[in-house]
Amino acid sequence: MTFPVTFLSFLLPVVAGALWVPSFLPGGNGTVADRGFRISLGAGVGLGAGSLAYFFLRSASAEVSAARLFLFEAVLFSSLATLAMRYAKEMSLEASPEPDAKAITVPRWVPGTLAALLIFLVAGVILTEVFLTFDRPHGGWDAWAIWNLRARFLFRGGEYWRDAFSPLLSEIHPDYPLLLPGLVARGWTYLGRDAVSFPAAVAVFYTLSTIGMLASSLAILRGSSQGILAGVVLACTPVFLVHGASQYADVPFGYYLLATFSLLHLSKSSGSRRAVSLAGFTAGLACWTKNEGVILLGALAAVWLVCALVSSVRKDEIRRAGWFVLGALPPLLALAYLKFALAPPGDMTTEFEVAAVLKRVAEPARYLEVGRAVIREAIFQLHLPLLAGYLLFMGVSIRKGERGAVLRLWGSLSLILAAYLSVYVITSKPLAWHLGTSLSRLMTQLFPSLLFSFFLTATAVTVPAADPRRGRTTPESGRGRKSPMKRRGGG
Amino acid sequence: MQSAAGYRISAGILFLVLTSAYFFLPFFRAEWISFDRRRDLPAADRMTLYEARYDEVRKHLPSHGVIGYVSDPKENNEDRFAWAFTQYALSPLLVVDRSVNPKGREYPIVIGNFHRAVPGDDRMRDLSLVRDFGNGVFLLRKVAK
Repeated sequence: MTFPVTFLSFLLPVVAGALWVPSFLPGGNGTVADRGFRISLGAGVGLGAGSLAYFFLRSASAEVSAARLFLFEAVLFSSLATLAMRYAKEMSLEASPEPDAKAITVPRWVPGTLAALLIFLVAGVILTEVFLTFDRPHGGWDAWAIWNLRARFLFRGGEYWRDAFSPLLSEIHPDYPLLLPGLVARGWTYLGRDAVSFPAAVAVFYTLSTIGMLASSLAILRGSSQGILAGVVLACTPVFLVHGASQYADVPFGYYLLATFSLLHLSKSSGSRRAVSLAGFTAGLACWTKNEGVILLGALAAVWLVCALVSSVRKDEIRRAGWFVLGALPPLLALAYLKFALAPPGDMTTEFEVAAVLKRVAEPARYLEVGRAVIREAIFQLHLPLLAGYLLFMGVSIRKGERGAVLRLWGSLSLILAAYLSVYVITSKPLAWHLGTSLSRLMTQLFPSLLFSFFLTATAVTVPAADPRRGRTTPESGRGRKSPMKRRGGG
Repeated sequence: MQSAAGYRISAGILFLVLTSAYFFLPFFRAEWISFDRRRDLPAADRMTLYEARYDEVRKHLPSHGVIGYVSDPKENNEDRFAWAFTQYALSPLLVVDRSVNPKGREYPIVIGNFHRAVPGDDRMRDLSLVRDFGNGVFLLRKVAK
């Protein structure tokens, strides 16, 4: 009975998410990439909404039964899906402009072979995740000591579920956000017991959705070969797979990071304010997943501010920022309730002493130690020199109209990385221990978005598709046909 | 495809795919072998076994609230592992380690989790044995002064 109930508990939010997404990303072109993007994005959006819905119901009532939860979700999700579908139908399509960046053509069999390889690899990834889960069914230390423990409080606690935020649990971070615990507790409510298999299924789901979203978003933007190559690199990164199966919140956080960046990038080229608000929602879900979400918001705000200052369309930038904030509101309101009404202050704030921090900032040895650890991680775990080697073969080529957007992407990622590294420099915890227990996870969070930025920057690989009017080649998917984002009215 | 550029591009794609596979395949093989070996083992994983130690004592504990926790000293990080896993196993009870948080000494019901011998030191002060559940799990009670 566990498998069908687990499947059905995923099905409701995933289907709802997949139905909502088209109203934010109008005008799909029907390609595999387009459908893949909508499904992989809709899955995460739906699951995030499922976590929020569970938290809302948990906060509003003492007892959360499976029947009550189902009724609440069915009414909420179906009414939102109906609204979304109605809006999606009202939109019409418009052909997108031709790409104006250098693209390298390859024979038609190349994308087909790469696609077959990716399918083979995804099967390998699923098996690997099963093997890793079999080894540690409860997940890694943080999985059971933080995330699944809090899911148990939410599920088992009844009217005392707020004990999950007791200061007596300060050692295991009662202030951490609740996307993952909420999602797991929601699944357990449907199952009627706290099955170990459910958080493992959530972990595998996010791992696969991240690979799917990376490959499909790049396939839309740069052609299927480019998307598949990115998917192959991510699927072949052992550290990503290990963290994926560990049931930690880092891979889900990386998923929402990637969703935010890809939506912002897609919306930039079409001017769709709905896509911007969906990007806001995924950024909000990133905040609802991990405290690092605040760093994401800070980085985006800083880059937005610079763009608004130097941009000739300042009003447009401010309007886009407004839509982004509007989209982020539902998860941010839930987070604000958690942080200000339920949870005690986090250890980063309680252990913050200005004098001690200033002393650490002035120690060059700490920068060296952090720098060495980052380089080690980049070379030996994320294999970044491979990407540098690939770039030597392919060269750099960014579409003219997207140069600003790609630069913003790199700028935001650099700011997030800089913020992560600054935390290590000022940390009151033993530096070697702090780096050893978290750097790998933090860099894994950024890795899918880094690959997204990298493959937008590297020269795209496309297959020849003769255009009889011009006698030139066009990319095989995405922008060469109908833009998935473009629509009349721009919003 | 142009000849020189074509070779360069093919080499670039091949380089990326092969080097990626070079990292994935040995990792996949190692996990497969490890999985295959474990399949023959009759016992459940370490965490499941550890959690099963608390099955009996759980019936004698309140359904919610706070209890104290006492354990024997262990090496490396095993102390924290033992406490954190006890907290995980007994949630939604709040389990407060008396050796870390002085507030833990205020609670009348105390769970003992010992892996070697029951320590005779300060850790056991004010505590009386209620029941030994075997496997190093004890139900203790704070002695009223």
